[in-house]
Amino acid sequence: MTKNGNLSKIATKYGTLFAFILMLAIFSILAPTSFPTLPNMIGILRQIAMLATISFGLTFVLITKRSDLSIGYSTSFLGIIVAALMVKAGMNIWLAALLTVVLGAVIGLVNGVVIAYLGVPDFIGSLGVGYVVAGLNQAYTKGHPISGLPAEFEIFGARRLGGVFPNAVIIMLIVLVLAGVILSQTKLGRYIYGVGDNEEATLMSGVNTRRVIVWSYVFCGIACGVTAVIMTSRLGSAHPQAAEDYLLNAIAAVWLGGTAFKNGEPNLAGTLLGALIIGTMANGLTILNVSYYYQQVATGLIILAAVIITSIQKNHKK
Amino acid sequence: MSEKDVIIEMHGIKKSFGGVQALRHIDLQVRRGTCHALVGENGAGKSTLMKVLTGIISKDEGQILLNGQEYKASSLREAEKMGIAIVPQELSFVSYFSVAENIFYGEEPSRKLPILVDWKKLYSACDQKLEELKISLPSRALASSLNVSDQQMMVIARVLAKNADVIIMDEPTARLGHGEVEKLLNYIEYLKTCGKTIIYISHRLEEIFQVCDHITVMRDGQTVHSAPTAELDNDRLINLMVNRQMKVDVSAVRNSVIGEEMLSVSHLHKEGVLKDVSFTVHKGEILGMFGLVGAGRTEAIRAVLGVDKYDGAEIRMEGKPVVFNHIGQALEAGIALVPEERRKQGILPNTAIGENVSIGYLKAFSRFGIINKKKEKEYAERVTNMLNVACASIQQTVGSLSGGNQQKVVIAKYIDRSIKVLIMDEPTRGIDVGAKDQIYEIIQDLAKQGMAVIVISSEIPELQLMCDRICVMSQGQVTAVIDRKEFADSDNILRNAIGI
Repeated sequence: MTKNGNLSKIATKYGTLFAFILMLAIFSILAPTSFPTLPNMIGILRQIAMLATISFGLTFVLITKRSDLSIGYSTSFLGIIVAALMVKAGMNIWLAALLTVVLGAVIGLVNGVVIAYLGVPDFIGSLGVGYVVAGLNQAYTKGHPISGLPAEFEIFGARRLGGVFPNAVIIMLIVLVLAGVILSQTKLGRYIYGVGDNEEATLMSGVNTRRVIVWSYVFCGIACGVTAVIMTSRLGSAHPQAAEDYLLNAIAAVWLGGTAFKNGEPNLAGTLLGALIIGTMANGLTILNVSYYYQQVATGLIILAAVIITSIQKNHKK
Repeated sequence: MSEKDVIIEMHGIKKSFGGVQALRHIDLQVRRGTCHALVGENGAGKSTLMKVLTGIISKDEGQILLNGQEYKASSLREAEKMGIAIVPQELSFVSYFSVAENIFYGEEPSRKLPILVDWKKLYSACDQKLEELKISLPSRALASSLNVSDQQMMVIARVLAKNADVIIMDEPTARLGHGEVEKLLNYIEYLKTCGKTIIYISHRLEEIFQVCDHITVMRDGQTVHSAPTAELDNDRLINLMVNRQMKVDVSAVRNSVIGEEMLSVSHLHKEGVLKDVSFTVHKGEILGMFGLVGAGRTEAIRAVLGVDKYDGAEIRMEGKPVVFNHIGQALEAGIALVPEERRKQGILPNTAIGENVSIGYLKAFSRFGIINKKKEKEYAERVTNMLNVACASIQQTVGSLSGGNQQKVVIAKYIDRSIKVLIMDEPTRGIDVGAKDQIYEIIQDLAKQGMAVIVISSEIPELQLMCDRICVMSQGQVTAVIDRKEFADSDNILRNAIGI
């Protein structure tokens, strides 16, 4: 391979990472006193903990070349559920959290069965499930938040380990490690990537691909459950529409991540980087007093730039 | 006949894909107002030649004259403009459009504001056109509501509405019932009287003798014979079609040790596709399955393995009755398939070689779902070495390998696990000559080691080379099972595949 070929390969693989580092450098120069500080860095991590967690789940689904449009609705509803279990049913915080995650898995299961077994296209299937969940949410809450959570519940999202490191980030890292083990060390992980690369060939190899697809939705649902617990804990109360933004941000994070490391394929390290880019952008622009609306414009431009560069490189290869 | 009768003339057409010479030398003369048959085995180059004529692919060398003028089309649309259109084997139309919308697709009559379609005019124009063409179709019916025969007439109407002078029909009767075939042939007779020229691709000789005026035989990318229909008969045609490029010493004895019956399939039935198909394969035996397009070979195998549904069959594996609901169960029972379309069904192109060969067998190196990667790597290296897959390392992605090596990767999945019956569907398709020999060697080795092997192929010589028996299929039925000692009669094999 030529030197040029190697360079372009490195650019494809690590371009997004370099862009992130460049971004850190620019913010550090523009806001030298407030941006590059340890508390601010930890703050960024804390801000992205939920987005990263839910995006790890979505990564599983996107690897199989499918999508899950229900995650925002599901996470909002699961946030209400965990609060209701404690406040209305008086359940222990651990049991409530566990049950919420299990319910998240059930929503994923429904998505998976509708899409893989009933043959509904993933877009409309997950959107339908999302509408049902959103409707149940509205019917139950009538649009009102649930407050009065037990103080101990703060442990999942509001407190910090040793008063420094946010628990939310620790939970996010645990999810990352577990998801990483599943994707890189298990049969199931291999099958999920197999379905994404060539579903028919994976089926012809004797793999029950439908079951694999269902599992990827279940993992996504579990991630929604965990995200909901962190979110409600952090906010201190449950809002019926708290997670609505997550769908688009999570898609953006996974897509951005797909452009890094693995040449277009979704991967966990990339997803983390994607979430970091989105979080750092918001943090840095806020420090620089850029209004929220322009922040969105900036995020959009960054996503487009990354994806355009990747597609140009891909087309170039052809 | 005078020289101006010729509408299409081809001289020395050549075309190669990569290293494979698909068209070696084509000379063809088609006369106006005739039906001209193009016959040949699968892979003889008929479809490639028609793709050149309709501008889908470009020729490497040679000359085409249309009405004496140099002809060159670089797209289907351009070819249609110049009066050459095709009714493809796989009909293409919009199924949720009406007949009229399909026929006038892209040329809908518009209102004063040109973006609005004049529906009334569309339907009246369509009815008028259909009457003119003597085709009776309901112009307002949805295309999807028509039967296959009418759908085909609709597609024919569409090309005629575009004023096509030369109409290529690729296996137009493959999906028609008997009465419908008659109807189509009658219509072709009518088109001839209108001065239209038809190029008719089919392997149903009966129809060809009925409707065609002239027959050109293609073999191995060349036009080998061209004569008026009256000068030819069945035996002569088959004799011309059989590929004699590859010299196979059919008298060579395969010293195969054939053991007990492994897989037996009886009375496999699938409505409209397979009729009472039965075959068996024994330990150490290579059974060939020969047939032309639409013979039902792949369909039969897919049904047996539980990939597709079927209506009834008695399947036995080592004497025990079995039913497979999906291919995973067939693999459990020891039957594996190397599928026909390698890129679509065989390989994970962006995945490493090592992970490709292990994906269906991960349970052998896993505990509690966790893969023991050391064991997996040992396995992957072992099986890829056994087949001499040419690669830098097993980390390389399969998509970057040559066709032959990709095929080896697919075969490697099944050579070192308890597979007793290996079925290979067109194992050498799209593979260059050198790699083909390697695949033949691998197949024979596997049989020697005691595997029962079924090879589906459209190339008689490669079956003659490897097989102990050849099961010939035609139109969903087994028409003959031929023993090795009778292999020399290639004409007989082809005759059974054509079904006469």
